[in-house]
Amino acid sequence: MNRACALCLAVFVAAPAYAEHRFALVVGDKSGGAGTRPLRYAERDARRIFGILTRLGGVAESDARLLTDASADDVRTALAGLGAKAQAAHAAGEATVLFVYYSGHAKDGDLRLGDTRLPLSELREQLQKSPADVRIGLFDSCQSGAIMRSKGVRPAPAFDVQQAQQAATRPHGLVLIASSSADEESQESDDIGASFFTHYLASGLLGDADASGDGKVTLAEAYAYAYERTVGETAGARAGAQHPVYQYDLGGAGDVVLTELSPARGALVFPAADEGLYVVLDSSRRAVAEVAKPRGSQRRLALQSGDYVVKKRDGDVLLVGEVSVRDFAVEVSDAHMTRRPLSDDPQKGASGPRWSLLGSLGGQYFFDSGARDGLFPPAALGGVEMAARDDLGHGLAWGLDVAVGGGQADVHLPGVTPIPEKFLELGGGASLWHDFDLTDSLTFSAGARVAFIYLARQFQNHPELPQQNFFTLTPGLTAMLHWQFTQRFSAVLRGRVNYLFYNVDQPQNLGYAELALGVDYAFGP
Amino acid sequence: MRSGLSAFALAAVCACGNLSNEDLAFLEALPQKDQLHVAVPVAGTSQNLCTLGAADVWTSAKSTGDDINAGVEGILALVDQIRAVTPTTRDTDSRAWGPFPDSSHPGYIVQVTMSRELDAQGVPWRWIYDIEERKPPADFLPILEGEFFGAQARDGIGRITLHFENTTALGINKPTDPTFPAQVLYDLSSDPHTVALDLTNGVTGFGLVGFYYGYAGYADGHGRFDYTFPDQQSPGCNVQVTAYFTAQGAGRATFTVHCPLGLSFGPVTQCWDVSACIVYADDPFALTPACGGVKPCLLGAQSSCAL
Repeated sequence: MNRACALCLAVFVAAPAYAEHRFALVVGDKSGGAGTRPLRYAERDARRIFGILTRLGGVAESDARLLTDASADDVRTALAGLGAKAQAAHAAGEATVLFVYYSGHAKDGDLRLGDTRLPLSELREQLQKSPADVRIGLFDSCQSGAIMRSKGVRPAPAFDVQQAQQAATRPHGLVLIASSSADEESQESDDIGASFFTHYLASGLLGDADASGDGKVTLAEAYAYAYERTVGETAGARAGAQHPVYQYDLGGAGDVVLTELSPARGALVFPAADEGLYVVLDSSRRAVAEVAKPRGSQRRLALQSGDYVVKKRDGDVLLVGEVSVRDFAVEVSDAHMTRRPLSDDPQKGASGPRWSLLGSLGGQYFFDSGARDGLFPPAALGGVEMAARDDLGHGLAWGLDVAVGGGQADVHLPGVTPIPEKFLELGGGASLWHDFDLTDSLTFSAGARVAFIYLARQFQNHPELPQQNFFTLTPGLTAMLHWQFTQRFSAVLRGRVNYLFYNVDQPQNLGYAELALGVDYAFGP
Repeated sequence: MRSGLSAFALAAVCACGNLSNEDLAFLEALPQKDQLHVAVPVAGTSQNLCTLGAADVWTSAKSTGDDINAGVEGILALVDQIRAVTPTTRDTDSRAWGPFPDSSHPGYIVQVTMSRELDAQGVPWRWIYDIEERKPPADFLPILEGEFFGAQARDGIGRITLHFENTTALGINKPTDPTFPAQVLYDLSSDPHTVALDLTNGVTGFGLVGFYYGYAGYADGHGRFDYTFPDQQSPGCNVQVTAYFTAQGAGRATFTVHCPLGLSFGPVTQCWDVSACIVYADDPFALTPACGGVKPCLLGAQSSCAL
């Protein structure tokens, strides 16, 4: 393994030195109920933020709650529980900070948690009433800016905290940060395997937002970083640029340290001499963080122990470094990274296509009665189809399938005793389709398919008749209805209509249909 | 890349294979070996113990039937070649196979044409097929012509003309083959099935003299056999036989020996049991060995005859 590790730096390991008692409620929900499309990365977003807050953000795991696939009442209960703990800590004289993070659907003024709703106004009120000294709400969802009253909401690259920081008292108040304004969509990216905002927020919290270089990422630094990167990366997106907004109502020393990088045991260190955009991928090739580094200052990225791949585009080549982070910091320098053609890995760190395997049983039926009479009799078919989604973009999926089947029938010829036959059919094809999410669990797909079909038949009790066969290509249309009944398994009803040109005897334009029921298994995380 | 696209385009427009119901219709009109077989019951093996001697006329009938079967199989081997070859051209009411190499005769080329006629309901009623063969650079010569009435050979009426004169000219004949045209006539449309070999155009063939050979087999196994063969013991004389047999092999034959100058000896009647032992003989000329030359000869009881 080529390692980019040139220098291992021993670091001082210590417990987080936060003055406050910190609490965190982290919610990720991919499902938004009827009328919404399941989000691919909401739960992963939540887990990333949960991990960062508990590892670097000074939140003890006992004071943190991670909710996925939860209801509105679950959130209310968890928030009330953390509020009670914050109340107790406050009564004991401790300064307290409460983080609330949400990644999921929001629409019409509500957070959508499955089929339940949590009004943004209610959540805002709960945060305002929370006994914690500082309440920080981070919302990565469409139109999440609606949680803020219009007055005072600012889509700006940085907080104006200079005046507040001059105060001598501890910070207190409410900060709300939303990934998009009240009329914007918050976007996910298959390239980075996350929502844009959370990805850059996480990258910033891991260290890339530490503009001051003091080893601490403050709320202002994190927001400024996430704002710039989110707007920059979504500027060219089809859905349009996404502008994070904030409402800042902190008194006292008005900035809050969100993460401290020094206590972390493992880290990547990008030396001052290098510059550029680095992408850090974990062992499953998912983007963990990005580092947009200017020349002249060192940048430290606090990471969990593990194996990572660091990539950087440099003109028409790709620099790749494989590093193992353990209880020390590892320096990543351009000079020690491997140079590869850019075509080797054009992805920023995508999770790649989603693969699935469908097993199906069904039948085939030719529309023309003459063709059905022994030539192409109704057949039973069993097959498998490997499909790839999120591989082509534009919501398109593709698949390769193969099927085998056959049956028995009689050939009827004028004046001739019916001739019994056994036939075998082998087929396969390539499909391209578009998925349309009808509900959380129901998806309709429609597309086109080009297939081959091979038929062979032999005649029972007629040894004098030779075996016959036929091969051709058949274009067609395909439609599927997926019902996802577990995380990985879906029941599938699939229909196809195909065209077949037959020309052994008189040329005929034939059509046939295939109907199948199957079970689809989704691979991957 | 371009060749790959071309191959794909070719595959897209070219449906390949021999999947054809109409081909089956043509093939079903061709006779099969077993459909034209002469089914003569096997004689018993204990003829040495026969009291009145063995039914040698009937025993020779079995041998003759085997010869006929072998001859017919040889003829139909040509037809069978068609089944193994995909038609070269297909029209609505005709097929052509070849020219293709004759697998039985290296260096020879075969071609086959077959056509049909349909009745008003679209049911085939007549089929005509021709097999021609040549050895390059010579031209094709017809070696088999067939005509069939019906939709399927198993229950139709047909005629096959074998041009032995041409197989001889081409050098692909068998030593026992005649050297003149012969016809096989068959009627499988009702009970009994009949198969006839018409060798009246020539002298000998398949061990028979130039004569009409007829066989009628019934569904229950009994049948009738008419044939003529040279009398080995009396050169120049032929034995004309009409034999009836049961499914088990017992039977009755009436034969007459025809010799030059209009001399005839017969009719002689013999009956035999399932072991092919003579159980009755009415032989005015003592041609039956058991008569010992005593004329007229009457052996056994007529009631012993199964037929």
